Amino acid sequence: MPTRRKRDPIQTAPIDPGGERPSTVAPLWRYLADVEAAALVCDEHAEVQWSSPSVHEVLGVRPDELHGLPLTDLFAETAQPHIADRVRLAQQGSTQRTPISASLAIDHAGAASFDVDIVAFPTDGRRLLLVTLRDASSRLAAGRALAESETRFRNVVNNVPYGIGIEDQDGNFVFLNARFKEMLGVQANYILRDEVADLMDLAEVNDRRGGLQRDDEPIDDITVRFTPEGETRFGLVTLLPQEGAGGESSTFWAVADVTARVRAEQDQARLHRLMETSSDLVLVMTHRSVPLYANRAARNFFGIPLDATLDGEAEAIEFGTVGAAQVEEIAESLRDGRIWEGELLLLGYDGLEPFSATLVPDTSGHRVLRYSAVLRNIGERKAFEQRLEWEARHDPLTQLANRLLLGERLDRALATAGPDQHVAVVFLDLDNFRMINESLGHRRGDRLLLQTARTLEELVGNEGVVARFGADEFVVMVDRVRSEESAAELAEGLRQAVSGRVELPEVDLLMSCTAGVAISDGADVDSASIIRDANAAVHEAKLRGRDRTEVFSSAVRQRALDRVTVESGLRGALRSSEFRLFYQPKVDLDSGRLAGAEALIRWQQPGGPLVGPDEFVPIAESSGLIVPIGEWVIREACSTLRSWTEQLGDDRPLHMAINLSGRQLARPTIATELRSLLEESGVDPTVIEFEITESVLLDDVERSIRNLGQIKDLGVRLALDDFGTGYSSLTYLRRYPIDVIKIDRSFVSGIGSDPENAAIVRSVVELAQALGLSCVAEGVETAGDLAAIRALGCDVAQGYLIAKPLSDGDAMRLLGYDPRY
Amino acid sequence: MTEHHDDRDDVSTTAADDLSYGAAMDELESVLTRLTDERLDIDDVTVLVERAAVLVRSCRTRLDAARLRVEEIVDDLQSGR
Repeated sequence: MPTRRKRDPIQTAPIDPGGERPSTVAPLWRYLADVEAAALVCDEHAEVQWSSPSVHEVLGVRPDELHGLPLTDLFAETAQPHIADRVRLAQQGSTQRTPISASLAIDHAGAASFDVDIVAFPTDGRRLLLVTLRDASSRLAAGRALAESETRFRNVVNNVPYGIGIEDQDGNFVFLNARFKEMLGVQANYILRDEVADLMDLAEVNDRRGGLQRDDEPIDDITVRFTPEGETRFGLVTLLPQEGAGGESSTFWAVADVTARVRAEQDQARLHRLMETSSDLVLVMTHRSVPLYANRAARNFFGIPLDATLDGEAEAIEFGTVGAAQVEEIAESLRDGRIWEGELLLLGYDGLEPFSATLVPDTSGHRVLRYSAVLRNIGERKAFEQRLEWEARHDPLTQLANRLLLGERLDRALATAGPDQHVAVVFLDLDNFRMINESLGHRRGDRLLLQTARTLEELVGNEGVVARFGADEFVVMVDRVRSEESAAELAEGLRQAVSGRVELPEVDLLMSCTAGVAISDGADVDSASIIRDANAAVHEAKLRGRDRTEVFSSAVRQRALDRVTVESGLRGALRSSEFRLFYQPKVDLDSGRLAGAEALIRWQQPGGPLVGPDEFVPIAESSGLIVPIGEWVIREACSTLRSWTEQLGDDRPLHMAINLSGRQLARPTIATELRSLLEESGVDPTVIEFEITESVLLDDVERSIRNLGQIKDLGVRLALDDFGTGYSSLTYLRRYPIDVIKIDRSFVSGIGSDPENAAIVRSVVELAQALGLSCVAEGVETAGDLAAIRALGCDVAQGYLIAKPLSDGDAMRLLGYDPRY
Repeated sequence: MTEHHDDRDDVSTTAADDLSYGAAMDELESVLTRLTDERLDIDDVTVLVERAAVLVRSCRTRLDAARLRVEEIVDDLQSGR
């Protein structure tokens, strides 16, 4: 770089060039005096006529030493031809400006090489030459030094550990160093504004520099998300806005790649959230158990305010009743730098609670600096396990014991019962509960069950266990019962307690209940068998008409066994064609001729006796087998009727009465099923009469009315069987689409000599006549009976007097005789 | 916060053109040295890079101007002014 030499005193005043000075040169003086170049003015002969004061400084010679010197002589021999050429060109008016690099021939103290410029200029009619010499070596050196600095600058900018970019005022990146390009995943040296948005999220940058910003004032700490293809990186950006001389602005960017740090912070934040939301207690404590960190669960448990700063000055954590031995064991483990795991009792708001603990020490030598604790409340887990355990053994609705718990308690009672002590099991079944549930709604049904449960619990108290066994079944176990009689009294007492009037929301019910009781007899008996016995007893009680208590006995057991045997036999009976139909003829009392018959089922097992319906129909009902059996009956009866009609001719209208069971009638599809069966048989529906019993209609009145109406629509007749034995009610007769009333045999048999029965039958007949119904008298066994019912106005008679149930052949033959009664 | 963080305050606020050529080059050297310091803080980067760029521009302008000045004079002379 050029360095100005100390100015010689000679330079302090204008130097007279010592020769003729062109007048026009004078104005140049002020220019040339301060130029770091030597200036010479030569005449037309290229001889030096005038020298600038800087000659001394630049060339190290006095100006007068050059006066009159031919210009070419001033330069080294090798440069002289070039100088001469340039002189000639200048004199010819050339404006060649490339300086000639030349060294001097004269003794001088200046540089080794100079840049020489020669130009001609006219003055006072002459054409003079202005020659300037500048120290070329110092300029070149300075240029080289600057170029080196520039190169270094570029290298430095490319190698700083930060991305550096320059963004112009339009948002284009006009410069990016290598690091920045690497961060953005680009190769180009510039990025147009439209592409920038794809590479980085500028939201925060724009937000931060949106306000008034002074130039040269950096905006720092902006975290920018970079999105080079396929990944996300984070940069910490510092911006330096710039205002250029021409008014254009730009922004210097410096970017540190903080992806790893941001990811670590995100991980740490996630970890922190995890810890804060954990139900485990997490703490970091000094060796004196002063908390330095406590997560939310720990703060809640130990009563540390959530906003309290934990700076090691807080109170030490109290670990409740940790025993001295345990304290020493823990301390030793921690001193040795070992993790301690075990259970601790901690004192929380709700008293002592068990925790599983993991304590991790941070030691220096044998000194515990601090330790971390992860504590899990296993009290809740234990409580949860207990809850599950409880739920597994209790009924969710009534909270009573369930089968499992009852069995366990019963087994225990049976195992510990003394020689004279019995264990009683009472099985209670709420009558018609299903109907209540369906007609009044499950909410009331549940309420009824709850009331029943509470009633039984109050009565039994600590003397035994009350369990809910099924939908409407409760079982009570009482130990230390003295005798079968006292067990029966107990059962009856319980049964009475849950029977009677029950108040439910918006409705009062008259409840009845059926009970069965069994007691241990001292022999080897297990819980399952005694419960089964009580269940058999309640089943027996139901068969005997419900609303009663039955004590289990060997007879009950036998009947239960019989039921099982019968049910088992029934399952194969249809397939093996073991059922038979018998037909009991009926007489039309008006004409005195046979008008048809009632089909009656019998069961004939191979080698066994003919079994009547009373012995198997209830079992077929309860097992559901009645449905396929009932279909068979209809098919068979219709087929027989058609056969009779074919043989006896159409002029003799015969009717066939067929019994329908409650189970059949309850089927929603019963009408459809009957229609198919009738169509299949080809029998005119008007000659078919379906008989139903009163009790069947009680189960679900509305459904019965609906189904009966649909059956009636098929064209058949409907008869109410066994009238007078059940809840005979005028209501039924009015509401049900009945055509026929069949007066039970108990009123008819012996009617001739029983004025009360005669009065009842008369009333029924009058009732039927009033309602437009026809009336059939069953059980007509004597001529007196027949005369009496005929006199009372019955329409049809049926009974042994006319005929007992006959095989289809016998019945056909009887019909063929056409006897008169 | 390292002590280097204060580098920004150390950066000269003198207009580069007011410095002598030698002083400008000396400062440029100093700025480049600081940019290569491994403890370089991001907050200083933009300021240092910008200062270096200004200094380079100033020196380059002045170096070129030394010649230009003479050329201007010659132009004046040739135009007869």
